[in-house]
Amino acid sequence: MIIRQVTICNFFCYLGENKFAFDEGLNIVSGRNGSGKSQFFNAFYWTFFDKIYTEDNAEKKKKWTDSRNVAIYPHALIPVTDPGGQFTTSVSVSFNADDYNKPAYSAEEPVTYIFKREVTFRNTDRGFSAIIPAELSIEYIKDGETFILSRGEHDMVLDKIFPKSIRKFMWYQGETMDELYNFSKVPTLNAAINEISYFPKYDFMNKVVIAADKSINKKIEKELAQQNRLTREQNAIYNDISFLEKTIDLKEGQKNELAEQLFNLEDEMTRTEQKLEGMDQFVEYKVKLAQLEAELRNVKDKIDDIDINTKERLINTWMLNRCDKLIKASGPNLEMLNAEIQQQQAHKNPVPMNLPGPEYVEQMLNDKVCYICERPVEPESDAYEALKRRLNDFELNAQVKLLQENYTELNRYRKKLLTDLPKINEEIAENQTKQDNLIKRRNALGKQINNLFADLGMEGRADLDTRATAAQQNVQKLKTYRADITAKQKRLSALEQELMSQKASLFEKKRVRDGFTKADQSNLVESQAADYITLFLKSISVLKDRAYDTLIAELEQESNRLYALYLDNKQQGRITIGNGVHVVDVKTDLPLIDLNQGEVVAQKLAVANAFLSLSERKMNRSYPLIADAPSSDLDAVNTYNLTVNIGGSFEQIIIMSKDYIQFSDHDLNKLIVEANVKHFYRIDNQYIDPNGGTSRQNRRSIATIIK
Amino acid sequence: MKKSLNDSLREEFAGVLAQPEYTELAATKKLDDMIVRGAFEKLLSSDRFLEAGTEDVEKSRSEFENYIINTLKTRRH
Repeated sequence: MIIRQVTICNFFCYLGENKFAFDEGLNIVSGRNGSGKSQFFNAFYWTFFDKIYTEDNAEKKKKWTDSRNVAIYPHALIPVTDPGGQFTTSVSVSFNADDYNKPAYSAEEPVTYIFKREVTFRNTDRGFSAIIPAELSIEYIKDGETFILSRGEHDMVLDKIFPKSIRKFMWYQGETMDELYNFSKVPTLNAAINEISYFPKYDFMNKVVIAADKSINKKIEKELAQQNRLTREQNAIYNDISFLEKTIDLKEGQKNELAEQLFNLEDEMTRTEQKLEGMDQFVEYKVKLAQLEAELRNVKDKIDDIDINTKERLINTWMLNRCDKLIKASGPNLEMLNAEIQQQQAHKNPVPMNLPGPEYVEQMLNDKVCYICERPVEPESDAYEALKRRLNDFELNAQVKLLQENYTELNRYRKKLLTDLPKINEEIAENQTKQDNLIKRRNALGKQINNLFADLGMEGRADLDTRATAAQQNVQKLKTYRADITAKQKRLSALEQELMSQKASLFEKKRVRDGFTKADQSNLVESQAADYITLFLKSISVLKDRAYDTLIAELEQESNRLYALYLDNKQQGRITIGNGVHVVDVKTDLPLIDLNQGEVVAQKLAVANAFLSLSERKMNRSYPLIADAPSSDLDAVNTYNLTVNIGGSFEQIIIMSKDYIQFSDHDLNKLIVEANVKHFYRIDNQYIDPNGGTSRQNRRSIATIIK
Repeated sequence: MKKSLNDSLREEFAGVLAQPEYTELAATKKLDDMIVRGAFEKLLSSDRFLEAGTEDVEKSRSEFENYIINTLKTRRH
């Protein structure tokens, strides 16, 4: 397929009619950021598939979006279109491709197609809106005669010319390369092998000859049965074969179903992982927010603790805060009290202190009898007076004891206060520092939370919970998928074991059957036909296996050739294709997992381009590669090498890139010659009115033909 | 004229048949080269294979098998 001409009219930054001619080989559209290269890429995609690659506000990432949701008209037309006025946006692409009416992969001469998508916008009260949705028209020119295809045929023709499975290899944005070309995933590799290689044809032929083998042997059995030439044992062998074939068919069906389920699950996993790429930030925000809020609550609690608990603990002491001098001054008074107590305790009394208590002494005085010596105690006698003094002593002692206790307590408090009061000030200062630090932390946390919300934006803030939940659900889905895949892989492995054993048994039964049918029934035409089918059964099976091995070997060879070319033979590794695609060290064969971005890009491009290149060589089925920013991760040297070498892999390639503006005129001219560039356009975004300001309404893209 | 997919497949099939294992099988069973090539063309004739279902396999099987049987019957008569 060769794209011949693209005409862009009033599409994004392209004002009026802009024509670009292309030819076989390498074509380049160069320009700085914002010059309109990506809109040029979008012009193709819009024409064929009515989609625009643009940022999705909700998911904050670029994706293919229906064009009706995107303003594709030039902003420059807004100020110059009167209310009620209208203008038309259109893109037309003409190219040569296989006749969609002919069988696929034929070697017939290509025909010309003109795909044109057009939409008319009107300036209404609510802004610019399409009068009717964008419409596609397809013209088909064969042998000088033009046919216009009906709308009903559009999808069929599009699928035929741009098979869905190939589209992603033909049209890509550099930034989407990771998800498109992740050949390290086995399903992606297998899908590519099935869809852009000739291996599936052998697979199909193999199924046909297996079916033919079964069928012809049933016919032989029927013939023999009709002629009553089968013994009981031979009948049993046929029955066994029939039973085994049915069982194997059933299990093959289950195996295929399981393999398809596995493929779908892995595909679903990839899609879920891609969904998560846009949403995992919300989980991060949510987790971060939860952490910050928990810490904030904790800090606030600590501040409250200091305010309440510490104050409560110190409140009594605080009341005497700054009373140190007074407390110290109470020392002499306490000494006086102590001296008084000592003095009171110093008096002498002849009545033994071990006398019973004051009640007994009082009783003895009342009864005038000493109950200790059993003698009478006359009033005003010495003994009587001594007992009276003892009674006083008791009262005095009680008072002295009280004084003693008060003195001890006062003294203890005094000492304690004199020790504690200086520490209180330290503790108060310490708590104040703690509290200040906590308040600072609280404010910092508040700020972090506010910043986080600011990062999220109003919309993100409102949807944070919903999106974080959705992301968590996706994480959960991934877990379920993984568990499901493991279970299905086990089941698949068990099925394969069973199949292997049953196939061995079938092989043995068939060997016995062939022994008696060939020996006795060589006259049957079906028996003779079975010999032919056996030849096909063996040879097609070999071809199928060999085709796969050959294909992998050729893919590896072509991938490595391109890989070396793109990196100017400075590659560290070698591409291996088998269980996925990997790069291994050229010497040790150990997997290289820390390749630089340039090498990763070169590897992915090399493998994808090897597929397209082999598709062209083996299947006579070529597609143009329309690439936006394929070299965005490469340095100047690798960009140069990639450009010089990429053209040779394809019948046609159109590259849109900013990476050529870094070359001097001399280097660029050298590159154009060396890379055999057929057409080189430079796109510049210019101001319509030099004094009209920087608004998008004053800008348009202009293409300059460099070659 | 470019080489088509079927041209590539014919070449590879011829390459396999040229191997001793297959030449011996053809000689032992007295297989006619013309019938072998004709039957292979029947296998090639289906252009639905990527998306082929059971019906497509059955249709190709029928054409392939009938071609061999009918050609052999015609020869016998």
